[in-house]
Amino acid sequence: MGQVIVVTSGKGGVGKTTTTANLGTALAQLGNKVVLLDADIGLRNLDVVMGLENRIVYDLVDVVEGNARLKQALIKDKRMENLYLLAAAQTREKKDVTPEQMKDLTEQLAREFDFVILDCPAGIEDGFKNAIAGAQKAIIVSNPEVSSVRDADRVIGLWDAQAESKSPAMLIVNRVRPKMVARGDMLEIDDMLEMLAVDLLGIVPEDDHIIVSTNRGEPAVYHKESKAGKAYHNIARRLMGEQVPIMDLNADDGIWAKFKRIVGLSRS
Amino acid sequence: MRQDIVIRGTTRTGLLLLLPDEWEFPALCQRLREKLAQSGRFFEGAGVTAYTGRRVLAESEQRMLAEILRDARMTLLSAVEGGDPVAEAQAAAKAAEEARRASPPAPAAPVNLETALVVTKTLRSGQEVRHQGDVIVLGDVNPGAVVIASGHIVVMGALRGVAHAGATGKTEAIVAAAKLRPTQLRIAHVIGRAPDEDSPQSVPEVARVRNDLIVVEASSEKRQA
Repeated sequence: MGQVIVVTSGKGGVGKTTTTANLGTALAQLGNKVVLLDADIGLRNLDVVMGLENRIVYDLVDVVEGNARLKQALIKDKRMENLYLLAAAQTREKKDVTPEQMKDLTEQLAREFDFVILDCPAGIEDGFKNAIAGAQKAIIVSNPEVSSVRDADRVIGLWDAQAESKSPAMLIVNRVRPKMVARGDMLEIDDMLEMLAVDLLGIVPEDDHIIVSTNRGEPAVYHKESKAGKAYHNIARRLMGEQVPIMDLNADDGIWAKFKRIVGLSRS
Repeated sequence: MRQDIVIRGTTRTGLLLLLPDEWEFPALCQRLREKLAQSGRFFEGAGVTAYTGRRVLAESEQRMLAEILRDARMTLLSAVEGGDPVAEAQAAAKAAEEARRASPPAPAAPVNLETALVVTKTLRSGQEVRHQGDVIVLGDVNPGAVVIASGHIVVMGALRGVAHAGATGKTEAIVAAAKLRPTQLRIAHVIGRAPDEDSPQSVPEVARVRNDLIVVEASSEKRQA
């Protein structure tokens, strides 16, 4: 059985869809069979970020309602052989699907795939309840910013309140700007962890590549020079059970720093 | 040994001159002249307020004092009865503090374990605990979480949310936490909120009602009294 992981945050705009797309792609690059499931019915985005919008024939609601078989609705990624997407319905509503149906669906998918990753909608209503119903693991995405942390705390509380068979939530701190943290203008990651009291899965820096890659429908993990892409790669390896140290965001990547590294003046 | 004359700078009124009580006035004048001569031109141009202690200066004596100062190119602003104003203010504050300690607030009734609710996890945003009796939280109370109790509230971790102790009107209820950083504190009908600037101390603290205000103090303070 594969792992069913929900990517959630409570607050909108913190990077759930970006995280889902990049983690899914990175896991597929590492040789896993992965399916991404867009649970944001009515406001689907994941297909756009993956660049697969024009290939959607059947969606999640079609499968749940029996209009299409699961195999028919799964869209194969255009770059990775072992990566699939099940799109959300755009013309339907969140309450057209029940948590039980989602549980059945994810169970079915987990039999065939190593990783089933659900992109949860913002909020804590029906869409959220559907998305977490079938998941055993939760990735909480939060920005280093007070309102986002507050919502993350709320969502962790709701996640913990479920059945005990679910494993504790893991945190990804997204859109970190190291210079602002160093200046004290952003929340310290240690302070976030102290309050949220969850395991840190990864830190993803703010990265212009994300905007470009989102608009092109090509996840940042394909770009070697993208720091965010590298961070997502590390997170994917951690999900597979590897011990990967948290990336040092303050590391200087300029030519001078590289030169210093070569001649042994700098430790990193 | 007799107390000597003191000349000291103050922030507001220029120089301060303390005249000890035990000197006869002529001897005092003599000593002042000596002192001013010793300090050379250091005090030149300064305005002086003289504190005469219990002594009441006769008009001639005051003129004499002004003259001595004028010879040293200083101006006598005024001569007032009484001792060192700074020391007196400190003594008054100390006396007030002692009076406060002498009559400590009515001790809060101990936590009643029969009716106490023990919450064994951290309360997160959106979670609320209401209980008739005392509440003990073995964890944190995060911002957005609420604890309401008719009795005391004790948080073993950090209290960052809202706590309402003595909710049914019991003003002697307390709120205690290892790290007391509440969004808002309520005890009975009194509401207090955290100061807008952060105070980064992290000793266990206790909040209680005193004179219709919520007062927070280190939890060890009570034992010293």
